[in-house]
Amino acid sequence: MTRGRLVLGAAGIAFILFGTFRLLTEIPVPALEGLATWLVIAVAVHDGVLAPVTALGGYGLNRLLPPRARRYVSGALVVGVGISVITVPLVLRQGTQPAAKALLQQHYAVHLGWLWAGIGLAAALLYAARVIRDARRS
Amino acid sequence: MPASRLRLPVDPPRGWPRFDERLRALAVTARLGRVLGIAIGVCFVTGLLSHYQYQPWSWLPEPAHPSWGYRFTQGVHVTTGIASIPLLLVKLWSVYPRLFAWPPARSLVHALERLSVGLLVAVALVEFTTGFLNVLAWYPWPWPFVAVHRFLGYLLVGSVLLHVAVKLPAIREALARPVGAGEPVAVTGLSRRGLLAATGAGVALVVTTTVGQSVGRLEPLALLAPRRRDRAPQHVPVNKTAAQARVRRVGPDWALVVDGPRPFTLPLAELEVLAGAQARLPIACVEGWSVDAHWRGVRLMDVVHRAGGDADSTVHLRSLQPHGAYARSTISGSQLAAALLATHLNGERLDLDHGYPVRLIAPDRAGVLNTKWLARVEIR
Repeated sequence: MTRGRLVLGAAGIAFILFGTFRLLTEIPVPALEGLATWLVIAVAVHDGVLAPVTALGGYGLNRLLPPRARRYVSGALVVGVGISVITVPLVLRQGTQPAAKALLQQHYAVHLGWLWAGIGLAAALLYAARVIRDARRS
Repeated sequence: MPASRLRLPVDPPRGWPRFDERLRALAVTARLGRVLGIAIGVCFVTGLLSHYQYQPWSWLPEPAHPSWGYRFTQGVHVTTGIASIPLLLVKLWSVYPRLFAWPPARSLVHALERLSVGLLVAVALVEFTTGFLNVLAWYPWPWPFVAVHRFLGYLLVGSVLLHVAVKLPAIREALARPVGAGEPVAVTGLSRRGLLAATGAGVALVVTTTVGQSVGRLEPLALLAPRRRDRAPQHVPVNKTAAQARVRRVGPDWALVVDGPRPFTLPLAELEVLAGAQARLPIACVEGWSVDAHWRGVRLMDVVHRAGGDADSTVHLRSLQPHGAYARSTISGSQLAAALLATHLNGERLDLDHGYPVRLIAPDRAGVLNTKWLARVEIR
């Protein structure tokens, strides 16, 4: 067990050192400075903006919705987070490429709207089923 | 080193963030981490296979079989990478309270461990973000994408291995118990099981709406796919257009130059007469999209034999494209034996954007290595 952890840890450190060595020896300094900036900003944006906003949103849901409804609204938000995050750059880049590339030619914001509508409908149906089930039990 | 020697107060300062950790439990984190770790491992291995396409060892050329090999591995690479984005976000959400653990570090080793987690988070966010933006042909950064994507891959896998090594006892303990163990009976709102189910549904939705760019049968569902073949000329997307490559349509006096022990030129009219060989081969891009297509042209080996080469020859192909890393390519071994100099695509004369007058197409080969707008074939 301990030996296995040591091997894992040593392999991890070896990969980190190898990647760092290749970066430092093969990538020009201005590019590395840009990369370091991106790494810092990525953590700052996630930890300083996205995560607190999500936590505040969760707090707001707790205050606004009763537990049973909150369960389905929270679930729907978790389902929709992935498609929403990847749609942002798709919308920003939409229509920027020549038509022959068949790249970024869709109406992504509209499609995201349809998908959210589907998620909302599914959550509403599940919620309604739950309400009916609870009513029958009581 | 105990906290007291760091001269930190025992309790966190007033206003220090506190979180409801009922949902953000280790039982949830360990299960999300297990799937994310596997996804990162799959991404890493398939990514290395892709790099090998571009820089193979001379003694171990890329095989030609299965013809869909690169289509499969690169489709898996890009799809897994995109699917990892929601997984990563929910995983980070589940451990966010640990950012505010008090004291911030219990010892030097603990501080180093926390720094390694910081590296893991930073590299994961940048690797997945830039990887996705690359699929969208968007490069708002000052570094060369391919090399840095690869080196960050080493850092990411290394950070994951180190993280797992540190956390393994807690991970094993968490995975050994049911996910709901210790969860308050009177659950309010989303349960842990519900969170995992919703995360799984979210990942499934991301995959379903994007994988159609790699799996043709799922294209009708590809509402968020960057590429769609049904909108492409001759039903095959284009990575680089003729205009982008600064290539103009050649006239009827054009001829393919073949250099070797017995050099010759192949005029356009003769090339079209000879184009009787047919093959059904996928074209698969490093950006994840792929399409099965019907090709017609001249077997490259026929050209090699006529120029005095044989099955052991190495063939260099050069494009009319004046600049760019993919204006030339090299092919040998079993890929050479199966390669076509294609003049027709899906029953039509090759579109200029697909490489008119003639392009290379070979099985199990990254799209950009199937050089378009061929000008010269050199047999060595």
